[in-house]
Amino acid sequence: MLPDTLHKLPQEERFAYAKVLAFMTRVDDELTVDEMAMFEQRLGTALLSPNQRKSIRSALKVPPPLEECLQELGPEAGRLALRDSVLMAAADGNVDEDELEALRSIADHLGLAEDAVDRLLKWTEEGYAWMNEGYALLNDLA
Amino acid sequence: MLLSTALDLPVEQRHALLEVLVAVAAADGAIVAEEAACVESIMGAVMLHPEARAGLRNQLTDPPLWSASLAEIDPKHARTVLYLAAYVAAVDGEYDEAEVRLLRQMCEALDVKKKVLKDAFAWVESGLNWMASLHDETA
Repeated sequence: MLPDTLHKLPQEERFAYAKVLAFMTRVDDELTVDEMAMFEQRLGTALLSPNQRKSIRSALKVPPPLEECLQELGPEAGRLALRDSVLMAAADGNVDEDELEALRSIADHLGLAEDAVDRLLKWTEEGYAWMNEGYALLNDLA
Repeated sequence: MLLSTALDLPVEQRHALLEVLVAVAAADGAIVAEEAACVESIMGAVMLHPEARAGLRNQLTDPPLWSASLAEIDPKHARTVLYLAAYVAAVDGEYDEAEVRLLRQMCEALDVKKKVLKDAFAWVESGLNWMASLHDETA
């Protein structure tokens, strides 16, 4: 649901971006409904072709190696993939050690600042607070 | 969060929700990429079947009658619809007059006070600011 520049990237990079997210879904060997919904949400924003979506959904079962996904990413697609990997890892309310390690590997590969993942986690926390604020407000109105 | 609430709706109501959002996106007569991406993202978030998504994509150029779709949604979730509709209307950077008119009509149809729409606008603005904060930081 985030408005961003993802849909403006070349299609191959959007596909590579989606493969990174598919990889992230399998990191902790557990795919919750919240993570799946976040994955599908980001896939939607990427405006992939129906065939690419089908292929990405297959990648959920057997995700490609992280190195392979990252090779096809340009700098902007890479940053968006890291951002949305953080969002997805946090979607079930908890980022575990394995997920954190994978996120740090992505940041490292992209040559980002050492605190990139921590800053994105903080930003994600603020975003979820915003979503929850909307939810709380709706309950309050009931 | 709001989309989790929407995900809890029965599939028919999720479909009706998307029909309402498609009508909002199409209200100003033009679908820009940001609106299409936003609608696609919500279709994904509420996990609609790919075939249902294909049907909704076609409706972007031939929008459904929003009032009929709105009536299909449990009134208990009506405000969630309104918040998401306000979000879709804002996603291309501005509220078009036709979109605001439609949102007001939805308020009336839902029998909710105008303040709810005002709250929805404020909530959307804070979300867009949250997004922008990341771009500002990385710029």
